[in-house]
Amino acid sequence: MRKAAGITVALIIKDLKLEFRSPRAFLTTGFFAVTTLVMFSFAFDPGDPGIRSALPGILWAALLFPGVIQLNNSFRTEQENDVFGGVLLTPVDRGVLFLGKCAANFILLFLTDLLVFAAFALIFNAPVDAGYIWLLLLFLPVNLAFSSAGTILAGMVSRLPSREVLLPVILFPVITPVLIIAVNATGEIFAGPAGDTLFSWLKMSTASGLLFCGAGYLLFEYIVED
Amino acid sequence: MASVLGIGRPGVALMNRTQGDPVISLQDVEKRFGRKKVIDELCLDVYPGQFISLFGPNGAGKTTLLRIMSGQLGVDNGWIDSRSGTLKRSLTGFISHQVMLYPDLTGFENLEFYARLHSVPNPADAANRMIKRINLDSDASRYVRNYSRGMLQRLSLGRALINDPEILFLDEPFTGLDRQGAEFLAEILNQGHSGGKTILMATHDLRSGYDLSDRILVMTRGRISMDFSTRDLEFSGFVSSFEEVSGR
Repeated sequence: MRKAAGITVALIIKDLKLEFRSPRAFLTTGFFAVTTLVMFSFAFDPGDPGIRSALPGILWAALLFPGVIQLNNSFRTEQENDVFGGVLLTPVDRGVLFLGKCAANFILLFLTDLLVFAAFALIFNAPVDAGYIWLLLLFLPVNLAFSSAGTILAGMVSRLPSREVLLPVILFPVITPVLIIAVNATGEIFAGPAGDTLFSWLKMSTASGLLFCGAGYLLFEYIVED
Repeated sequence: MASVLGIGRPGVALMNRTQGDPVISLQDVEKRFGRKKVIDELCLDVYPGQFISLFGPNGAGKTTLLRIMSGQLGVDNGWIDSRSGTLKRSLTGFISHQVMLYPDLTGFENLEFYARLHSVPNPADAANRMIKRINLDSDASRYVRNYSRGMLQRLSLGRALINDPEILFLDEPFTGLDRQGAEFLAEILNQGHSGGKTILMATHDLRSGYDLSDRILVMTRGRISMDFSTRDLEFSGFVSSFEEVSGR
């Protein structure tokens, strides 16, 4: 167990080092997300109280599409020099490889979430108050589900020439239930003080995240092996 | 010639003078990519401590055979009994023409990372020792993206040896190396062979392959068409037999 934890940490550190030394994906993701928000701000008047019900959808749309870029990039760095082939030659349990890759994606997606939320609050004049702590809590399970499903599917298409097109095509249908939960939970958070409905959405998103993560841990071996 | 080459029953020619059980044994192995049969009912026994050079024209199945033996590829038919299977990856090392190194990590970081994945005790120390062994001490902190081909191949060798494997697989290791690099690689391989490691190397370099190894296999169309000991056949005889078998 301790050995697996040590290897998972080594995999996470490696991925974060690679990302921050050449932050192409992070910058592209952040730029794309902010551009999306700016476009929405022109389509909907941020000062109009009538757009409040559309805000959760705007926020998650700005988070979803750039997230796919991040996921695609996570395996692109493994393809150069067939380095993932070298990793697969080691005796590391494939489930542990999944956990390392998924955790690195989770951290990078969470950083993107923070960046996008800051831009969102600025552009749409969202009053940042204590209630928004729930939004940060919501990011955690939704990101877990997104990064888990994304890591499995990105691993599956990583050796295909059309992987960048294929990933969103197969990821979005899988992740749609989680996005519906996320949008509804965000609506509850924007509407006012946390209530039972919000806790229900949070529980459902946590269950989804754990389900996707568990499935990834068990299935990754069949995805990456011949 | 057939008795020397072991044609028809690869592995038999050397079996009598080899000690111990095979470390890898393949029986009637077949591998297809789509409709193309790349490995065709291949039988082979590899014994501990052997240095085997694998020759053959492009598309003969050399790389596929190495990948099967190292546990990277499954087979469609037949069976393989090896110490290099899924549970024994800690015993093997693999060098391919792809260096399998992260360009945006330093040489040291790459080796330390692989040492951790192999659960080598004190990975940083192991990486430092290996960096010295492959003569890259002065370049250890440079990003691999800035390494020359020869340096990459040395580091790739270090990556494959970081877990002190019993069995080493090499796929075209001399590709792109200058004379100095090739000599260095040959020296390391000789050291490994003297130390009792089992080495399997696919190469087009007839001279180097013959000089380094004690057993030669020639593959054509997914089968082993020659299998002999370098003690039983001079280099010139090997070259003429090889040209005959490979249709050159």
